[in-house]
Amino acid sequence: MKSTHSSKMPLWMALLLTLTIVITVRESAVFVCQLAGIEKAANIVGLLTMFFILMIWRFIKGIPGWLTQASNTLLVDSGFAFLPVSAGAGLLLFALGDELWGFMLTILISTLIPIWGFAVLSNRWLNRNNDMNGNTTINEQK
Amino acid sequence: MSFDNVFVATFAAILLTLAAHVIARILARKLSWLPMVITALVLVVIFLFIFQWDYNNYYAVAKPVFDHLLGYVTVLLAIPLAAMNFKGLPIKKLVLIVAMASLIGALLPMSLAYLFSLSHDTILAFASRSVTTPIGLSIADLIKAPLAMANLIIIVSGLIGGTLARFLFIGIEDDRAKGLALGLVAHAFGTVEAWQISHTAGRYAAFGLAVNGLVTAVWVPIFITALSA
Repeated sequence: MKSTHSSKMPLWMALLLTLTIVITVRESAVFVCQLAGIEKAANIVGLLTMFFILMIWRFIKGIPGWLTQASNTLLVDSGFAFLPVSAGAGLLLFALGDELWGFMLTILISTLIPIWGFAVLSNRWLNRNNDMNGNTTINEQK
Repeated sequence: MSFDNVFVATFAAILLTLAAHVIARILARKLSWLPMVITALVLVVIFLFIFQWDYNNYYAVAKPVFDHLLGYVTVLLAIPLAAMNFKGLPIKKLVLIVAMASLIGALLPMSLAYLFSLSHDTILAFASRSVTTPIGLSIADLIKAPLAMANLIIIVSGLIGGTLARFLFIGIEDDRAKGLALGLVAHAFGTVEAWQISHTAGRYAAFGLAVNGLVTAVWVPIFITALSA
């Protein structure tokens, strides 16, 4: 199974092609989900459909380099898409009132403990795998 | 500020948002310590204040266009995930870590929110805490959680996780472990922080972010719908 293969294509064309694929898949997902009466699931159905299409593409030919390059370029500016909702979120923080302390404690506990826990767990499991295989060391990974 | 024509209002909303995004991008390039998303967000609020434009009116005209963009970004996330190179990775252990991260990422904050007697809407919004914004908003929309609250939770948790993680990593030497933990728990902000640690950490964080988002997007809406039925 090939992950990516290189191809020479100008960035603007890669961006245009990637956008065309993404828009087609998403709008098709919207159409199908509307017919099925699950309109709100369209984005997630689109994500899953795109993933399966790409996995088939990867098994058959390998994902072209231009597609990953274009997606990396587009994802850097993806924050633009959720800026209006984010602005509402910022304003909401000041309007939490009595819920503020509970809200902040919930976020702090549910973020920091899992980060620490999964880092410790991954550190043990990934290194144990390397010890058993004897093929990589931490320094080689860096 | 008020507009008679919806088309003009929508165009003005896009222009205002674009200006905030571009300025934040330029500032983030010059001042690397400045978080771009937060700067852009603050700029939008400042612009709305300067132009005396009520947020609800701004959001109402911007929503139709930005809902489409949000959908495209969600679909776009499939590309880095599908292009991930799994060669040499301990797949079974990774699957187990991702499954645990997805379960804990939704159930722990929801349980804590319930414990702290937060409102029903806020508890629902906490289901999307551990996934990246485009996927989180799609999940929130599906489970009928308030979108602005879900987004607030994702942004604040990402910021806290990305900022404080390095203090929690004392004694952890493997960059893959640091990156994976950051991507799985602190999504986009965590991934940005992981790239500062090393390229290996960044790659593992991107993997954690994408795969956790995908897994959570599948089970959380089904779980919440079954729970409410």
